[in-house]
Amino acid sequence: MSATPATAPPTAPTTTVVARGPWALAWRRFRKDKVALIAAAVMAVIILVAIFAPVINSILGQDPNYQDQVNGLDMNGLPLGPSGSHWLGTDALGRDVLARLVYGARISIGIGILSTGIAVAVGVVLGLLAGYFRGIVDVVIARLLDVVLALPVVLAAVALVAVFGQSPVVTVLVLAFFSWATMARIVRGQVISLREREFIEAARSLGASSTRIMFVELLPNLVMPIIIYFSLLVPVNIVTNAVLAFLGLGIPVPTADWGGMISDAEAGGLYQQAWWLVFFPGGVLVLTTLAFNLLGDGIRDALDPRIERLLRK
Amino acid sequence: MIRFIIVRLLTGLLVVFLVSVATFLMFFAAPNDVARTMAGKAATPETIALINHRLGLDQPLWHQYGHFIWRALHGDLGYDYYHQRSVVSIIKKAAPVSLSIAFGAAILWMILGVGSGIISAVRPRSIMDRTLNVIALIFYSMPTFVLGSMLLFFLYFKLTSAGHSWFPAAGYVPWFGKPDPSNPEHGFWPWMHHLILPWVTLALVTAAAYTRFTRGSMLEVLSEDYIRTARAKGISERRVVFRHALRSALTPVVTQFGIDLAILAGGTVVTEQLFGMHGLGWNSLTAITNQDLPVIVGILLVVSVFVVVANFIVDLVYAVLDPRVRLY
Repeated sequence: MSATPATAPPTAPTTTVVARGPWALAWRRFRKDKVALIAAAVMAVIILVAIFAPVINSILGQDPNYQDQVNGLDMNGLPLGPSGSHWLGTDALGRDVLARLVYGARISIGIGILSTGIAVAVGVVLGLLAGYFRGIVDVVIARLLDVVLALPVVLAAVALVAVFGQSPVVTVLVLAFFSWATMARIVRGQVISLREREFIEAARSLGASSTRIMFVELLPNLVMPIIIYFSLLVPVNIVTNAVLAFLGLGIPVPTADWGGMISDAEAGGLYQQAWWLVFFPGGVLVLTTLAFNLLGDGIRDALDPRIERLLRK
Repeated sequence: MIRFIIVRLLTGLLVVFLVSVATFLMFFAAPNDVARTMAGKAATPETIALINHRLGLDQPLWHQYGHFIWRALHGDLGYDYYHQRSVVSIIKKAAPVSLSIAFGAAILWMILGVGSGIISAVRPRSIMDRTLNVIALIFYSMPTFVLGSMLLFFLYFKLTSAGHSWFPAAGYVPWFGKPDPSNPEHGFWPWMHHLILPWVTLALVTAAAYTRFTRGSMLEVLSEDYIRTARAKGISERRVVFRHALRSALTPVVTQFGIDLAILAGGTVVTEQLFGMHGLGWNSLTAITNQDLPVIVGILLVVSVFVVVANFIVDLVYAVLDPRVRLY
């Protein structure tokens, strides 16, 4: 009775256990999301078109800025509809719509991604500073946030562009200026709770500098919200850029830009005669933002499966 | 409670003050050629200097700002450069237009957005949920001016040229007040008739965000323990959703709504431009292109006051909807 029977040694598990980190798990979830995969494919195509715009146009044999006043317009000087020689028709100046769409991808996507990149970088740094140092730094940054968020975005953006002049650099900076605030707010909130955790205390007791704690210890913990916010902000900035162009304050002419193309078509009600001038740029614009939004949703669901858990409960 | 209100009011004042400084600096400090535009091409430097002097543009910046803010505190936002109308009268004339657009659209998008959000959340993963989700995402991805031009093209232009003039052309028709001699139409029905397309445009684009927002918030609330308790007590599902869940699910939605409404009331630049409505957005856009500085700064200041007030009201409503929120 006193002797306990020796238990059989645990047998080795027959199936091998693979260690899956959070990234591997997120990737598995993402791979199952068909909608997000399609969106990613559409986006990849659009980005490739943007990168290889000159190549594509030389294959098509069209120049986005060539004004074909002879063959590109009909007898009344009106734009031509879609046809064999101009697949998506021509605009009021006899320029090929397809060629301009292809080049416009560069401007729209480039400006969307660049402005978001700057906004996220600024937002993360200011959010880290505010959340980590608290006190006066936090107060100043928080009031700055309030001011930026209290300004009506479109109006203030139009105003800034009007003051500083129309150029791609100004557009990118203006878009970034109005979109860093939310990122900063998210990061600040996360940092405030993270900075009380043990690993930060450990780092501090090991003598790590504030810079090191912020950028080496805290930043890796913020990667997920940053990626999610980035992917959701790009389409917002693409649309805002198009709105600026629509209001006549986008990239200066004659550079092709989707918003600008619609704005040109709108002038004088031209699109009522030539539907393709609004339909194609508008369609591409919606398709692009839709793809970005679907992909953003997919990334969010994959990285932050909280909603999934809620559904399973 | 009292402390909360005082603190919030002071912060609000601070934000309005900062916005006024920011907008003032943005426009008055930047180089402008107002005087040159007004004087015409053949103007002598003396004329330009005289105009600059008359507009007070030759004074030091802090002096100009002090003058501006002192008058603003007395309800005077200055005069526009080109027609000598007072900025206050411009805002008074334009505000009803913007408010009409914003409030009508707001009612529509709250019904559409919150309604479809609830339907989606009650049966997640159902066909209905997926369909609504896709529709919401399409409108969410659609810039206002694309949707607006499409509606104008099909519902106004195509229908009218087909002989059905169901929807009017662009332009605002007042509800109250004296009819404009150039435009005899006024009254409730013409007012509404002219606003339908702008309302629908704005509402569809905005409702999409609310569908997504309500759905997420509702899903979260429906998984809470107190909802399980309510169901366990045998309360009908309808009552669980509308009485127990909706109240707390709507708190974040209300926050967003207040801010959105305030911003839209301050002028919907694109919608006003597209549908030829001369509201705050249209006026400020025109002022920006003409470098009509007092008008821009005046309107931006008024809009920021809207936003601050809306934030304040939202915080109060928040406390009413969610008893857990303590005002301190």
